[in-house]
Order: sequence, then C-alpha cells, then structure tokens
Amino acid sequence: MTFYLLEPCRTSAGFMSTLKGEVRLDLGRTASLLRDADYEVTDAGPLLVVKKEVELTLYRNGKTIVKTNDREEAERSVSEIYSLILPERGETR
Amino acid sequence: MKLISLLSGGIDSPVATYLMLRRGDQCLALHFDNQPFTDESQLGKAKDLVRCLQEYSSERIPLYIVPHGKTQIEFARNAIRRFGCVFCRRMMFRIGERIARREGCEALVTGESLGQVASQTLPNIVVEEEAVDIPILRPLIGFDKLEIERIAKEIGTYEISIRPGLCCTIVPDRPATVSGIERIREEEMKVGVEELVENALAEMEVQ
Repeated sequence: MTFYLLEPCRTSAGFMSTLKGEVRLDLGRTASLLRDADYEVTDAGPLLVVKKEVELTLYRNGKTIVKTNDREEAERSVSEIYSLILPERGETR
Repeated sequence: MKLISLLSGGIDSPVATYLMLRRGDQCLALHFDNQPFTDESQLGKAKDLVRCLQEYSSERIPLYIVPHGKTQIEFARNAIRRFGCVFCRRMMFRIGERIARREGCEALVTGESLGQVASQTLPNIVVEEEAVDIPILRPLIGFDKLEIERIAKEIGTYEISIRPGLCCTIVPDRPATVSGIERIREEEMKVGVEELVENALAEMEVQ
C-alpha cells in the first residue's frame, strides 16, 4: 500500500495522509476493526476520531489528519491504521 | 457597551475585539473549544490572545470556554453535511446570546469579513444571524485579509494567531456558500438544538 504524508500548511500542527488510489471506507466496519485493536473511536458520522498513542481523524476516502508534530510518529500511526483497516492492500510503507 | 466577543485562535477575531476595545467598549471573550476536531493549541492561543488584548482594556477580560465538539458531532451525524459551517455558527450565536443575556451584554462581536470563507458569504451570514435576536457586530466586515493582518501585527496578536495549530477537521469537503433559512430550520429539527445549548452551557468554564 502506498500513502502520502503531507504537511497541510506551514503552520499546521499535524500531518495529513492520503492513499494512492481510490478508497471508500465503510466507517461502521472500520470503527469496529479499530475498537477490536484497542483504539478509542468516536463516530462523528462522516468521519471517525481515532486515538491510541496519537489521535487522528479518519475520513471515508481514507484521508487522515494526524495530531502530532513528529513525522515519524505520524507515519507509524497511519501505517498501523491502514494495515488494520485495509489489510487486502498489502504491506504499508 | 458591554459585549461578548467570539474569540477563536485565528487572526481575525482578536483584531475585531481590539477594535471594539479601542472604542472603550467592555469585552468578554468567548471561545468554542472544537476538540476533537482540532487540537489543544487553539485553546492555548485563545488564552494567550486574551492576555494580549488585556493591554487594551481597562476592565478585566474574562474568557468563557464552551465545549463545541459534541455539538459538531450531533450535526455531522444527523444533518446535511454541506451546511455544517452554518449550523456551527448558528449554535455559537445561540450560546453567545445566552451568555450575553446572563452577563448583561448588549451585542456579540465576531471577526467575520465578507466572503472570506464559506460561512461568511452574505446569504450565509443572513441565515446565521437569524438564529438569535441579539445584535451581532462585525467590525471587520469590509476589511481584506492584509488589512486585518497589519492591525494584528501592530497590536501583537499576529504572532500568537499564526502559531502552529490544526484547522477544523470537520469542515465539509464542499461547504455550502448559499443556504436557505427554511432548509436550515428543517435540518435543525433533526437535532436537539436547545438540549445541545444547555449541555454546552453546563460544561462551560470561565477563566
């Protein structure tokens, strides 16, 4: 699986990830998968707020916004999330 | 006049507050804490902005902090997404009005500037202010962003406002720039507006 990790703007305190290729997540199923993996999940309708070490917002199109200033931490968190919710897409990187 | 000024962590609202303070008005600051749809930095900025604005006020500026995340969730789950920013502003005004009545304030103050973002188009401003009876003062309505930034730099709020922070993550992909009042009222019927206002006020903090 390929994803891109971006800084949305110069003064952003977080990172944004997008997947290569189109995705339409079933957020109900996604929430369930993440809860099973010990994530704290808030279902806000069109998006999920997901928290373990780092809090991130996950949208239906697979985009995330990660609340950390640490790029490595953001990459690690996003990679773990994608591998849980999109295992059919193979290895994350 | 005694006023309630809606103060985010951004550039515009502290400038709007300053312009009213400069006239000699008394301002109370009202911040809506949008977590988990932003990070804690916005609240930190609001606190620092109040400290900065205090220099321009002869009266102490109390900061009212109202949680806004649960309100956002209710609307996102139950109402049409593209009107999200309009619902958000209407709820802020309702809560602001309630605090204003309680504290003897005569008007709300916002940092709105015509057309700057989706919630600040004229049709949306009209729909947003329909939610309340209290007057809403918009000292920046005709300013452009560069003028606002120039004042922010002069008064010392700019450097606070541009500190790193997360923008609202629950903004719709394509927010409506024109909304009709009937449609908005219909959508609000799907959500317990009054209960949300009461809950937010019950969890409000004053500093």
